[in-house]
Amino acid sequence: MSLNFNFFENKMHNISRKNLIAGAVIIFIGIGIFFSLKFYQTHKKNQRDLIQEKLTYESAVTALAKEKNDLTTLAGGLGINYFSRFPEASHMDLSFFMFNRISTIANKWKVNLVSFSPAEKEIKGNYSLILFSGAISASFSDMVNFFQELEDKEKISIDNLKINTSSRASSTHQAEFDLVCLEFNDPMLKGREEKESDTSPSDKEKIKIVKRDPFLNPFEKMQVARPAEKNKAGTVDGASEFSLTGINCSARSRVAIINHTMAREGDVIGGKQVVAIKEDRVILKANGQLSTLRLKETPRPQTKEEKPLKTEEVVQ
Amino acid sequence: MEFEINFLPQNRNRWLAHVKGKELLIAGLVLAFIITVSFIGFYSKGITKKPQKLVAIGQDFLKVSQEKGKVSGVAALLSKLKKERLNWTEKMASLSDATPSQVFLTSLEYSKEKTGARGSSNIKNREKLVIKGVVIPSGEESPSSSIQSFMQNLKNNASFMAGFESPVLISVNNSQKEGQGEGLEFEFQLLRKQDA
Repeated sequence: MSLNFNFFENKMHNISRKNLIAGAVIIFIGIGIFFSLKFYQTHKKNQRDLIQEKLTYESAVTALAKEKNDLTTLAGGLGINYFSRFPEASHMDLSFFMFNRISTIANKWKVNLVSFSPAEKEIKGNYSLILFSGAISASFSDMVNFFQELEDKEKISIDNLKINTSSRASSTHQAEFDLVCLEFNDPMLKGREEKESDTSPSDKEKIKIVKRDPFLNPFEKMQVARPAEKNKAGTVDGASEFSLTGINCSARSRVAIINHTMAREGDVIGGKQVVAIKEDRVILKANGQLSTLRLKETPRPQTKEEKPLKTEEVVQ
Repeated sequence: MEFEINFLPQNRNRWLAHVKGKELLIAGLVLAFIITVSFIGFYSKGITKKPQKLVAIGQDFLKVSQEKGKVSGVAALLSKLKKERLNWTEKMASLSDATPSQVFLTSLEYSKEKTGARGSSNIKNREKLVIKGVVIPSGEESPSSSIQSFMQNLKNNASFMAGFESPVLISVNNSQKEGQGEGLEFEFQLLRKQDA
């Protein structure tokens, strides 16, 4: 018994050579077309993916740039890393530096800095709060301008505010407050603090005008009339009736705060014309006579004993 | 018993003997086909595989996304801190605008106080603003109306109310101090919004 597995012997002879060639060519072309199409599709898909990825990447980069820009604005608005703004702060005790800074602002607005406490540091995660406490006595208008400079220009947060008035007739009030400075250790926020030069000139010259002092008894005011009211009543007699509480001289404009009212050169206050605004005085004219109004001296503030807290400690 | 298994074509020698040009062409085509398929197979990896540029962009995108995530986290923290911050200059100016003519304030105090039962873990710092003042009676309006209108003025003042809940009246007392006439002392408070 014999088993023969012979698959090709006769079949190969039966297939015509022409058909074989044609079949091979067709298969070859078919495979070629199939792969060409497949590769073309893949190539196109890759091209599309590449464009899509590029677009996604570019939009992500744009979004990141916007986010970083927003972060800078946000950080600047919050006044983070306050002490990094001032190179001199790195060599000084923080409390002393801050006292000098606040004292200058207080003097500018004729606010009496009654007390100023040293810094305390509170660490919260990746940032620290540097806290100072202070007390001032000033008129409501000056107090508002003092706080405005702290909040808008210095970007220092005011916390735990307490305002009291000593007597119903007094236009001077006491305010106790806490100042909070934010210091971030995050390297992402380094260099994003607002520089002194970033503050626009308009911010530097901004003066807040308040309509009335809500802490002043309006009826007592009539009895113990303040210079402004006397002026309105037409009883002005001499420059001593006026109170000059602030002068803001800049390249663009000169503004004086006379009787808690903003005045420019040429304005008439209480029947007197403001002839000139100098750095420390204002010259008034009435009935052809000139009179000089000088800035009142603000008493030097008293401070408690300060704890040493250096910038390096804050940064750490 | 003997089995013979033969896979080879029995007449192979005869078939090969007749190989001519056309057969060679077939062989050539088959060879070309094999070469082409091998060539395609070899290069298809390069074509079907993601281009290197695409991979690099993908990696860069991942880095950018991670950085954006970090920036967003810090921005969220700064936004929270900004939201917590109160603008006292605006509030004081608003207070000046909102105070009626016959009302004057004696004290304004913004502080934190602990809320919740003692010993409980739910103790929170709740910030509040307490305003105390006096109404001097005048012919135009009753003292209680002046307090109400003052509170309403504050309530309607968006910049003053930013971060605070509506004012709540705590106390009203008649007061008469020597040489200062009659007045109505009042006290109300504004609690800091919890989500602020």
